[in-house]
Amino acid sequence: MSTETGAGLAPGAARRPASGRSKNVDVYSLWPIAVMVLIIIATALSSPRFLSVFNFENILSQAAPLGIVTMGQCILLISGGLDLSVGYNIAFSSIITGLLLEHNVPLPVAVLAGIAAATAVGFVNGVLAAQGRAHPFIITLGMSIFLFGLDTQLTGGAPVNNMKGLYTAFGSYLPGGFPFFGLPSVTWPFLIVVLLTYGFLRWAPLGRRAYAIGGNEQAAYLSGIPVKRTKIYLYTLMGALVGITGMVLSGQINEASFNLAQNFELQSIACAVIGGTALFGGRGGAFRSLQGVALWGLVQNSILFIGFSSNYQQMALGVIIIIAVMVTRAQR
Amino acid sequence: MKSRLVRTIIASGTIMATIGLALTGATPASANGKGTIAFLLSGPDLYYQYGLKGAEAAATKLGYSVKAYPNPNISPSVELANVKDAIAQGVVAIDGYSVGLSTEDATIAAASRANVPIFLMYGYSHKYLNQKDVVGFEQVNLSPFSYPVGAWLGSHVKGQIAIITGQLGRGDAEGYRTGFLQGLGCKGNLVAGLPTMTCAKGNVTYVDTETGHWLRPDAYKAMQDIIGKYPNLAGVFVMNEDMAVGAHTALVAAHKTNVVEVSQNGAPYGLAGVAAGWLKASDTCSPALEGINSIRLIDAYINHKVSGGHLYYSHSVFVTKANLSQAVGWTIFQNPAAVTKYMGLPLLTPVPNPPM
Repeated sequence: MSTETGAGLAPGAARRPASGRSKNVDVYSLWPIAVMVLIIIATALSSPRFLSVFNFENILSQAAPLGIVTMGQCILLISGGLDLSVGYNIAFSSIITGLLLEHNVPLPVAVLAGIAAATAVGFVNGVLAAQGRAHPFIITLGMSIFLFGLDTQLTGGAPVNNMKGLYTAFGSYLPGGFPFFGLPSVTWPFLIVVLLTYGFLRWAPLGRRAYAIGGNEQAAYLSGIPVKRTKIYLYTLMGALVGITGMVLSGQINEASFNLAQNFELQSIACAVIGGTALFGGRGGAFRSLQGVALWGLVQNSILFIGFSSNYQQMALGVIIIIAVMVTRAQR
Repeated sequence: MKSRLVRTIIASGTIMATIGLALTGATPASANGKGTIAFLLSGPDLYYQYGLKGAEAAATKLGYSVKAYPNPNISPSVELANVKDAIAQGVVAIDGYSVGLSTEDATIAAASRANVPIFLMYGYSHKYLNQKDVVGFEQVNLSPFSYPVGAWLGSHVKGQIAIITGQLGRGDAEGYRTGFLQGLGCKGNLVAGLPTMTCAKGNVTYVDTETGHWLRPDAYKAMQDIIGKYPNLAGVFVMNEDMAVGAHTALVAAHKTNVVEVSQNGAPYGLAGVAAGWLKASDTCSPALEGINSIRLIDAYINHKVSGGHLYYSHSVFVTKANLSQAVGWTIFQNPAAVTKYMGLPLLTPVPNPPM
């Protein structure tokens, strides 16, 4: 896990584990796994059905859309940025696709248009963030408010109720046995995005530049990294991932609406941070964020199985976020 | 450099002021016949949008214009600002939805101070009925609204049932749950509404309740969690049809379409669900009809045909596939003949002894 840190490294530079602890295992980074094991044991003791295959599939299918967007958020956080417009951008992409499907536009065209719309939003975010005139927090917050109005205007508040081929693709389970194992179909885009994000951050020059800019933007600039262009690329990539999330989520629920992905912006940031991605850049990784997503989904599910009200979910998740931030600081 | 900055600020200000004037329309409040009625639009939900459409349809027929005051983020402070703006612009009355019980205090007080009649849909509280210029409230009668849904499920299902609620804490979701459990014939503390309860003379066990926050995606997850815990679930009551669609989608994905689903609202997609057969029963009301009635009552109050300070219950129809055509529907504002028909009905009758 420690190989996913890499604070402030220039592209191609050798990475070292944080703060001189064990070279192979950063114990701090494993805390979400330890917590998950404890939760699984405790919940399984109180409810035998918790460990059923069906419930495992539920957790996966609920975590998958959030997981995809968390990967994008993780990349941005590593670069010192963030995106608060993802919730309404997910809705925007799904609405574009849903409205086109309503007008009998072929599915591939509608899907590409939805993803392109979200990518364009990401590009605009990137161009504005790259200017450095305002913090990405404000820029993407403004974009979020703008998109909320646009989403509502496009739909008049009414959901698009039939996502047609997208629902066929993501609203069900895949065949049992090799290679799909009967998992919810949304699982696969999620796993593919996680693997691609891992590869991107580990080997792609753009991914390495994200660490460098997030670690020390001034030093990255002085070492010849095209900071502005890199930021634009990263936000645009985030937009594309948001578009994919829009397709997966609207297909899963068979709906496109302005409130499709409420709170995804904060949940995705929280998942990345729980996994150990630093809020102010330079540290983090795909598998770490995956731990955050898994812990998030597990806590939500297990609290219901134990029999507590959903209010306790929020309390537990709040505590976990605080612990995560403290652990991340302790790692420095 | 400094003068350039000043020029930029002046140019930006001019452009924004022009846009602002264009967007506000600069329409005098009394431009249309009898004047303008402000409509508090709290949130972008379809229910509220269609309430506004109904109000606009009725206002046009009665000689008023309606100006919507949007509050997309359901903010109490925006609501109060909207009310003050509306009063400043000289509206003849205020209609619409308040964001919450606590916000109503300030909203109603501001309207009363300005002698502007106010009528609210939902958010009834007895303490406001005697305040000056409060025309009244209109809403479904919470517990009785959900009662027939519970009674129907109790007579058509045996085994385990669950509830997917809306957002708890405002009183409406709790009221619906109580009414549903009463209709289902459950034994226990029905106001608290916590499972497990034995219902329908022992034929039904109420085993679980989860919240879907009135949202389809959240109901989807809640349904997944419930059937994970109770794989033999026989029935589910989902508190609105938007959530019911989400719950149904989860049931289809899990190949659990044998679970009997009932709901309430009468939304277009809900009525389609009843017609298709996956939604077995629903108690329906119509935000558009509520909007029409609200304007009619405001008009009657302004013309001294009714007194203020009353609670009115909305028209509701319990439907299954057999009597689906009796539902009023949410889109009556699109049909001028339907608007004329509903405006020709007698005014709603005040609830004789409104609950304290």
